[in-house]
Amino acid sequence: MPDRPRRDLTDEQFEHLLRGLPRREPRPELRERVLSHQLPPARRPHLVFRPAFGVAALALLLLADLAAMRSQDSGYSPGRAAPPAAVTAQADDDTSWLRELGFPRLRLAALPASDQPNPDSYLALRNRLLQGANGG
Amino acid sequence: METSGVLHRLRAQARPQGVGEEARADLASLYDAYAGPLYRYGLTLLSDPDQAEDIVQDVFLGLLRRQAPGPIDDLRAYLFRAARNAALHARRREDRQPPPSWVSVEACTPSQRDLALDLQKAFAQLPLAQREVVSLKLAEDLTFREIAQILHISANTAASRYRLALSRLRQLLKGSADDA
Repeated sequence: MPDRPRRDLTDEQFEHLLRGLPRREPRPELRERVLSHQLPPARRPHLVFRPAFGVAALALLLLADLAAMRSQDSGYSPGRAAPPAAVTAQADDDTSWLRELGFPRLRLAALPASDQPNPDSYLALRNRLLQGANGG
Repeated sequence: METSGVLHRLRAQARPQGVGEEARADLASLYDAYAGPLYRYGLTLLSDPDQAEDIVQDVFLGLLRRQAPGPIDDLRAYLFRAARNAALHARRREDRQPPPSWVSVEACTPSQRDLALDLQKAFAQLPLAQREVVSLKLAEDLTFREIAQILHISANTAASRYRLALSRLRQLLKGSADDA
């Protein structure tokens, strides 16, 4: 058909003529380039879920922190009576010399040194402190 | 081709280190079906064959990276639209040369060669909107309805553009033949 003068062709023949021309193709290297290309990682969780994960993680951390605090507190309080008020006052009185040296806010923590409330434990500490202050 | 299953498998097997064997076969089947048409369509819009190949590559990788929810209703229309967007974006950045037609002059027989060369010149004189329709109709054998989906126009508009373009091409080719 290409040999026939183009002006003599009908519309259909003209279309047929153009369709019969060879078509361009991409170079063969492109195929390998596309197929060997590294793909992106699989899709991550949807954006809506990320804040929820954050909130849940924060709540878990807070709960764990609270549990640790309660556990620490329980080592002091249950079954251990506070020392008598007189002992605490005596302790403050005995360490007054520390405050006079320039530590006005210093107080001695009057905690029992064993599971059983025992003023002797405090007294032993007091004696050691006093001995230390006297250069003993 | 059953495309939704292919796409699902492709995405499920996508790994940073590369494509698994099954996914590679799926990608190859998609490539073999659509790379040529997308390349020729890219050439219709761009003047540089290398750029048209880049568009083809971008379209396939874009398909794998696709994050939009929901299935693709018509994969062919989707791929052509993606190629069109990428090509039009690239056109804005480049100095535009007359685009080559879909015809490979190198592959023509001696009797086809003159016609192919004349067609090349005539095709470059058509407006872009007509070139797109002619290329999709003659090179890819799409229906006017399919062309309309890709170009976001009505099927009647696609048909009307095609008839105008074909008439103009005949006129230009007749002139070339008379000159020769």
